[in-house]
Amino acid sequence: MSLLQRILSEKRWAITVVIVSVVIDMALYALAVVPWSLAVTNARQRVATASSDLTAAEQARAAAQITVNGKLEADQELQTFYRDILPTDLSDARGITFARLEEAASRNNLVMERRSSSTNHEEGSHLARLQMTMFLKGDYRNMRGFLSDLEGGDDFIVIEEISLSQDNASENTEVLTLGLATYFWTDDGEGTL
Amino acid sequence: MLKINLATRPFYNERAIDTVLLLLGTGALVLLVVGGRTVFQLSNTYADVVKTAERSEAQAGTVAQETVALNQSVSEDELEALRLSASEANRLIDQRVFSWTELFNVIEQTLPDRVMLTGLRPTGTSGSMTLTIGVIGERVTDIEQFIEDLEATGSVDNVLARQEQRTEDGMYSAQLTGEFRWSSSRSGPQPGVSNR
Repeated sequence: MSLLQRILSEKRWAITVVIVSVVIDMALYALAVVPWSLAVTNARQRVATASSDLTAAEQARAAAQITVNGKLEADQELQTFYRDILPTDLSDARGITFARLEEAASRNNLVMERRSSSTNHEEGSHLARLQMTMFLKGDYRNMRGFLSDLEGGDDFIVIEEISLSQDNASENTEVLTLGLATYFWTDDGEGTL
Repeated sequence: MLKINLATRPFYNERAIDTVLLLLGTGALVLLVVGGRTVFQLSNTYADVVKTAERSEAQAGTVAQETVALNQSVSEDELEALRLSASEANRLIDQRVFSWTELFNVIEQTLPDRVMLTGLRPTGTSGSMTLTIGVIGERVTDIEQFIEDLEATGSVDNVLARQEQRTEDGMYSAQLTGEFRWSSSRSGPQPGVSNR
């Protein structure tokens, strides 16, 4: 009997216990530790994917919220523009153009020779346009004053076009033809005269 | 006297073998304990991680539903209508705040004595407006001088005499166009309300 056989024979119980323990360890690692590790790794990947999905969804919601808020804000600003800045209706528009323009002309020593007006309405727009052409006679400096008054005034009157022609060279007077317009809210199709 | 043959049971270091076996057994036991503990920890971690994933997935679903609801609350037609209205309002505001005084100052500075202004019409939006300027001059060179002086101010660019013709009284009338740069200080509704 060799020495090794003798040791195996004499220590067989102890050796058996050690071998069984090692086998149990290997089984534990192969059947439990490794599968659980893989499962945890997969679960972490799932968390990462879910987290990036959540971030993308939150960004999309934020963008949608910005759109909604922007729309509300633009709506409010437009309503303020239509209600507080523009004339409310044709009557109001007529008031600021007819009366106040004449007042500004006389304040600047300009003579209003004649004027004409009409309304029109651009398709798709809720705004009607009251257009006016004024023929004013007077000194060039006074015309500058008149234009400056219009620019500095609170009324929403747009100067669209200006024509100048000499009326009387000796008196140094000129004729100013002004294309003016103002706008007011109207439902589609209304406001056209 | 006892006579035995000691060669049949040779000596080996039994204590060393016992120690090795004890160490191996202890090592196996320690590995078993560590392995068991690792499995316990991994199972707990797995449960936590899965819970976190499920929570994130549920939140992403909720947020996606809210996004859909928000997007449905604003239709593309409404946005388009709003864009058009805002664009129109901004155009009107630009026209209203256009500084005729600034423009007249530029023209007065540059208009030669022998050239007379006959018409002015700005078109366009804030920042840069296209000007149509009507003038009458005694000579074509006076009108050309006016064009050069206008451009030299830096306020008017790309001035072009689109039409020049001799009038009945021997003068020259011209229709000029150019880009007038001015500073607008308006604040109105912005057309770019959608970024989606």
